[in-house]
Amino acid sequence: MSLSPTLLATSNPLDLCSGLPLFPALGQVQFGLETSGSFSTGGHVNLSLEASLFGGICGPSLALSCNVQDATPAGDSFQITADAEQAGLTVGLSASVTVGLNIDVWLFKVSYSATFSEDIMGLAVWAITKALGDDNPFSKATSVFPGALSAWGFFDTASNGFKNSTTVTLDPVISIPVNILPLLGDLGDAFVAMSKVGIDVCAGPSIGIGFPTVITPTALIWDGKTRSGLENDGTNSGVFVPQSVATSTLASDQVQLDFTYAPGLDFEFGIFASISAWGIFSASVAKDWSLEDLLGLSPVAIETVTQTLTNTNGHTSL
Amino acid sequence: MPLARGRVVELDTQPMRRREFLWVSGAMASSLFLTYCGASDDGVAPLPSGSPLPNGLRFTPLLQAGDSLPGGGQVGSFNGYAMIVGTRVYFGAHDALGIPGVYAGDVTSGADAPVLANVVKVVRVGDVLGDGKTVTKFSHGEVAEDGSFAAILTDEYGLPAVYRANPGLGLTRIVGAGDILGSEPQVRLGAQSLCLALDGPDLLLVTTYGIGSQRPQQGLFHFPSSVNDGQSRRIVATGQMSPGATTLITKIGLVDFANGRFVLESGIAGTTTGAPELMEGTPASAPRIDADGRLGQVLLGESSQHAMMLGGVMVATSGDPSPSGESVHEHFFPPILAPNGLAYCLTRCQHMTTGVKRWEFMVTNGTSRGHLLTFGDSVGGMTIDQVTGGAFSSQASATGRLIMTGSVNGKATLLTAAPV
Repeated sequence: MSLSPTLLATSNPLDLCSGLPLFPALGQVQFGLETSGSFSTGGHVNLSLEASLFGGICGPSLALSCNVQDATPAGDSFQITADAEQAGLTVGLSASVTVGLNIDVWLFKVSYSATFSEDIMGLAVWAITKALGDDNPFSKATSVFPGALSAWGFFDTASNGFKNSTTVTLDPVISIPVNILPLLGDLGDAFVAMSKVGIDVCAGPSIGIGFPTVITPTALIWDGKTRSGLENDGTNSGVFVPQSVATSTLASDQVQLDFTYAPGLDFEFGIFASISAWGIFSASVAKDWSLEDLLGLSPVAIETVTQTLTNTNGHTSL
Repeated sequence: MPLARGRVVELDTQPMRRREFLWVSGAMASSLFLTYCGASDDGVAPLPSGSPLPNGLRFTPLLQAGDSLPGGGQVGSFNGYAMIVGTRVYFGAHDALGIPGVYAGDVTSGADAPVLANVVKVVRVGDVLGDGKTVTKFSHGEVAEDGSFAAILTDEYGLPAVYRANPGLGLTRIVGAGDILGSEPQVRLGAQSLCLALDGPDLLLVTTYGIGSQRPQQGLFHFPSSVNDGQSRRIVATGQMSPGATTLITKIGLVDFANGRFVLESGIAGTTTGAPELMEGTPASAPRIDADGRLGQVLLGESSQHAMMLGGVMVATSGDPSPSGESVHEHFFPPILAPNGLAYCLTRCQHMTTGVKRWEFMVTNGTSRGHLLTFGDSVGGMTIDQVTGGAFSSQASATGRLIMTGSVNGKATLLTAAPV
């Protein structure tokens, strides 16, 4: 039996929230979160933060889609076309942050407190996108979590990666703090006004995330035979050549792609504030939440995961 | 002419109090500190001694609120930024509409007193720079010996970058948020740039950065010749082990930089090519270093006591009589390091009999101290309400001329002072 063009995908269209769990031991999380805390430097220059986070997380997930069909000439080799991959996490976060400032030292006597509630992820991603250009792992997500004003995906995408390679690597990584005070309209103006007396205040989120993931097709089953030990033939056409063929118990009209992925995971979300007065003194306060803090998860061990995608031979929809 | 008369106090008048400070502060002026500041094995110059104290300062207002600014505006207020190199002065001012800017001019000899001439705008909030970015904030600046100026400017997206203004050449972007460090492709600079310092063409920048998904840190970066290339260097950063200690560095802080040497508010010092060292004592504020390697700093002891140190020598501590003879020291601003071994320092004092808190401005050569001004003094027909000496390094020229902002007769003023 020939291998007619067949769609093998985690969802159609690709959607991280419908993807495979990047870490099966963890499963996927898709729920809202709420956490809060207060932090301060203390002392004569007391810079304090009270932060409450609201939002939701979807993932971490892996989404994969490709078409498989007979190679030319037909045989045990086959062709992967129009492959697309996503790996990462979708996050919507809003924050209510109170920045308090009390200085009583030397010439400086300042007492100030202001609260802002913002789509902090939206602001951060906006600024980071401006900093990094289009080469960044952020994308606006379609789903919106309760309590969050918008949702963003931290994920890497790839397409047609199997055209000339046996593996596809996704590596959505970023870590950057963003001063959002200038972006906050009237409130930002209040802090900017402090510059008139030589005081510079910054505050905002810092974000660190990474999902380095390598995807490797290991076997394709159709017509009751397992083709394994797959290697790209290097002709830039997505042709994979099996090193071995064995009998399979899978129904002959079914197509199954076995593949592995080896993900890593790192995610941090932080709030920071800093102050400097002329060239005399500076202070800063920051708090970072790890994924473990946010979700109550244990640290994730690197592992190699084996998954399968199946469809009926010749079907181009799920 | 405006003239404040000096009064000299010899340091040895209160040896007990200094001993007390040493005791409460854990003998902070111990070997490592003294090695860095006063010995010659690492090239640091000992403090020149014997320089006579000036009798006083001749204060001259250069620019005041209501005076014209380049471009048609008027001075509304000054934000404390005032620096001098040679005769070139850079200062920060808000115009009458409250828009901040940085301006430059030359202090030249007038008929009776120095005047500020050739005033030009360096950059103002709202300016569109050559790279298309709109300036929304000026947060820190510094001058170099060649008369150039560098500043951290924030664009319309809230992202800071360092721009350098070479005389007559406009502003050139050096490095900023989102940039990859030339020598470490995995290091991406963040959006919290605290301060910069210049030493000739070289640039030091304290800013946040990230490596991959690791927790963002604050680092001190060196850009030789102000170029972000393979010669750039991350000298020291939070999260690293403290030099010679077993604790992690949690703060970098403000930096001063001269003749290849830097000192940090966090108490770390070093050269751009060597390993950083940990200075003895807890800094109360940002230290200063000059081209001769002379270090001026204010250390913090227990019970918030301050000690002003110059070239490894303790000049005065909280509780010492001030050179005015009327009050005792409470706190000190960082000193202005001036030529001939002199240093000027603002000090918060308390009157011995009335208990009234007041600010005094003094000069020291490391051996003696002289009183120059008490805030509110009337000198030469004007009342000097306040000056911000020591707010930044580079507030004294090679000829000893000082530049400061302040308030004279109730008006925001940019003023110069020359020793007499």
